[in-house]
Amino acid sequence: MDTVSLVHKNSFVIWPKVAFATAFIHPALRAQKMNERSIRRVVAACGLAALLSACGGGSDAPPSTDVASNVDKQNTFIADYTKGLMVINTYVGLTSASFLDLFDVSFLDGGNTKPLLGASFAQEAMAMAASPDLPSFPMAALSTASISACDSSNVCTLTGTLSNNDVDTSADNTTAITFTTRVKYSDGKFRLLGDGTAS
Amino acid sequence: MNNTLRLRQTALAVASLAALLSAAAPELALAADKAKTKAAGTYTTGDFHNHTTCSDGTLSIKKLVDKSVGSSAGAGNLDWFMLADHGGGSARNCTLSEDPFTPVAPALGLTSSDTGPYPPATYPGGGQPASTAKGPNQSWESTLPNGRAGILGDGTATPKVMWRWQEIQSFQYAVMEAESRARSKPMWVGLEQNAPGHEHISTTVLNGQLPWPKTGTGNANLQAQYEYCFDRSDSDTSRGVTNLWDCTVQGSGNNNANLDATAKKITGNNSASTPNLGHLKILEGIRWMSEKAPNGSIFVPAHLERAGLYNPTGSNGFNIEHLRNFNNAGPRIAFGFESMPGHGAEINRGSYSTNAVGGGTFGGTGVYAAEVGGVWDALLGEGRNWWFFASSDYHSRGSFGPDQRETTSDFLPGEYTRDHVMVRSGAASLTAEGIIDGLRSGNSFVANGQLIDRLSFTVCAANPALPRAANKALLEKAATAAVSKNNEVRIDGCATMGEKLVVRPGSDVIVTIALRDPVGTNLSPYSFANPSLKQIGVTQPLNAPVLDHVDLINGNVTGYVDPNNLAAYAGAWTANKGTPAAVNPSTKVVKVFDKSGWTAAADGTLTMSYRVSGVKASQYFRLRGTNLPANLPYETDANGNPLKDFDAAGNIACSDAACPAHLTLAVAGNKAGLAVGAKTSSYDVAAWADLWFYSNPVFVEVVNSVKVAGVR
Repeated sequence: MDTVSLVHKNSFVIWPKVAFATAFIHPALRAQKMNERSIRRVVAACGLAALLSACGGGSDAPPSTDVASNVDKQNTFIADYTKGLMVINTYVGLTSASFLDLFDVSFLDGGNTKPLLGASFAQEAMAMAASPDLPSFPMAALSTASISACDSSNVCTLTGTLSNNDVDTSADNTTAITFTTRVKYSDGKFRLLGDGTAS
Repeated sequence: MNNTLRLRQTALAVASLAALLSAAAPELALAADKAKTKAAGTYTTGDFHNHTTCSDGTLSIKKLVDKSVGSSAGAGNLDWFMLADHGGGSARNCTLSEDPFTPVAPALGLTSSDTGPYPPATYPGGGQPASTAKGPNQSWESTLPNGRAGILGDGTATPKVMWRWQEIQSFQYAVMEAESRARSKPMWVGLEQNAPGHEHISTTVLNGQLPWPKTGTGNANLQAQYEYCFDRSDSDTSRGVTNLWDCTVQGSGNNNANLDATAKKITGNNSASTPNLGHLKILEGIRWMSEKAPNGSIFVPAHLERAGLYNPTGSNGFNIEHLRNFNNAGPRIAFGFESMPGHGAEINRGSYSTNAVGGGTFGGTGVYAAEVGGVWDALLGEGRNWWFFASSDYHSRGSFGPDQRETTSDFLPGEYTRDHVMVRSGAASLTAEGIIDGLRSGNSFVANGQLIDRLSFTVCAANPALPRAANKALLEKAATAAVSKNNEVRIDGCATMGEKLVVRPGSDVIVTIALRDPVGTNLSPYSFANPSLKQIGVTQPLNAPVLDHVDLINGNVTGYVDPNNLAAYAGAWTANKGTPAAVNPSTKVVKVFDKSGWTAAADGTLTMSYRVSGVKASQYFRLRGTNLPANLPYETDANGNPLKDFDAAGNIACSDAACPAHLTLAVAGNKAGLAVGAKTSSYDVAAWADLWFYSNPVFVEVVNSVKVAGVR
């Protein structure tokens, strides 16, 4: 398979090079407020990952048999979520059906459901036309992500690092935090499930 | 033309002043600057309201500066300092230093003496007596090389009084410039203006002055001219003698038509025959500043409740319409108030009597800012850039001298109250211009008794694509990091104090707060248990306060009030929020954070956040915090609001053996049932016991809702 790989702390992801080249750096996206530096980082990481993937890598967590056989799917999800977060302040990003599809139908996170999330994305996209200051939410870049601890229901834990790179790009990025959330594997895809809390 | 008649016509014209001011529409506001366009900054501490013997203070310039920015025991160690003697004049020469300059090391229990020798005694409350033939209480007339002849302008008294304009221009500035450079800290000359039509206003006109790190020879000519032209107490008509000043304000018929032919300034004030003339004159002063030094001037009303309500025929206080008028006349210059007065250790805290608006201070703050939903919130509810400040107003330590640690009157600059002001480009390149920019920006907070010494306060739009917990954690991490570096969060989509966040209708916003309750002791000389907390069995050293809780206060923004709508624009403060023009009914405490709701780090950093879902209306958030819990007898009500400080007077025992001798004693009939003759928490002890901090607001502007027009 013609692939590039993105190395994570304890695992790796593999995604189609063609898809990256065409969708990830599509001219339409470039026209939006894309974080080009972050993209370059991903590209660089992908190159490094290609080398390391030959040495073998993987999660330390004991996944369920079904999920364990879908490392590619894990990595695809991580790459797609990473990519989606990078362009979520653009019209294309906000209206991307494929990004919204990264959220499970039963997604629930602090009271936020998938329908509410979809509505929120749509409202942000609409608001962009009304004000050049919008959308105004802080961006976050995802890195060193991995999926582990899958249970028999194919509910797993996504662990990753989020950081904001607007100003602070130092090695000890002062916004970098490690987070976990739940993801679910079904219908051949991983999707975000949220923390399950209603408020 | 008959001058009196002309003034009367002018006074009548003041009645329609509101209509004139309506032309001062705010600039179209923008959202907070993008993170990358904000220069890195640092919060710095300073004081801009204090006095020497060149007005009614007790210290020399040099000693006041040393006590403010120096690091001796009890000194403020401030990053910057603005000298602000009163306008008018003084017979005393504040450029002469005390001799010896530091007679003893500051400490509790020192002995002061009018006659010395110094040391072992130290100076008394009034400073080094002139009778010693040394020090700043000596007169200009007796100490200038050419004596009385060296004192310019009008004046017949003996010793002759020197007008403040001459003190500033010819004497104070040179000393301040030298002190600034010697200490490598920005320090410059301002003025506590005796305001026409009102009481006092802290002002400065920086242009021409060259404090550190500037080099070359500067001058305070514009500051001196402002004093001559617009200070109520400066009745000199000499035009600054060889200065030949003319107080014309370009394009201002109100001002220029009323200039006295000789003095070339408006010489009248509020009076029975010329009501409101003083207020008109002070507005002209703001316009003059805007013309001469639009970026180098500040105009901050001081202790504005103290002198009571506004009086059109006298020089008393300020009603809300005057604050609106000031801000309309010069939003870049008149951008806030000192509703937290100095004089924090007086028996009548803040030097507020029961005749003050509100009947006294509330936790050391005047009612205009202390009352949730009151005057300050009314101004913020318009979306105005109107910020909260505090200063020492240092004159003396009452019955104690400057080297004694006790005080029955004032705290030294930085000893008790500090303005923490964001200055961009960092402390390494701190400039007076940067400090004034920081004051103007509203990116500042005030803390008493070092209750907190660092603060990051932001409102950010929520990123809908992130897990909520992760979004919260990222913003809290950024805030904590900012506190660790004493700087601010710079993230697109976040606004901090003095800024506004623009969001779409229905957005969620996250309020994130990190602050530092510093480990160790503050500058209080007392280590016995806080008497206020001791009432409820809490033993906490007076010099090691602990933050009890933080109130997150929220109010709606409904837009600027039209000056022609007098019912909404003008009105004297009344109890129970009875004046529609002076209230914001939407304002409330929306969240109380305490130890159960914040994350504490070993260095005293406390981090907390609060999510607001589905924001529909433009609004603002501000903070206050205290070391006192809600419902503390004589200190706070059930909702945590500060009670009137007079309520506490004489009702809280100071029973520790170390309670100092100068405290007031309980009298018969005290509400707390204290034994007659028992020491009570009073003077400096009462102030150290009751600490507060106030942040400036962060605004949220909802697209297609009300514009927050006064704020970037």
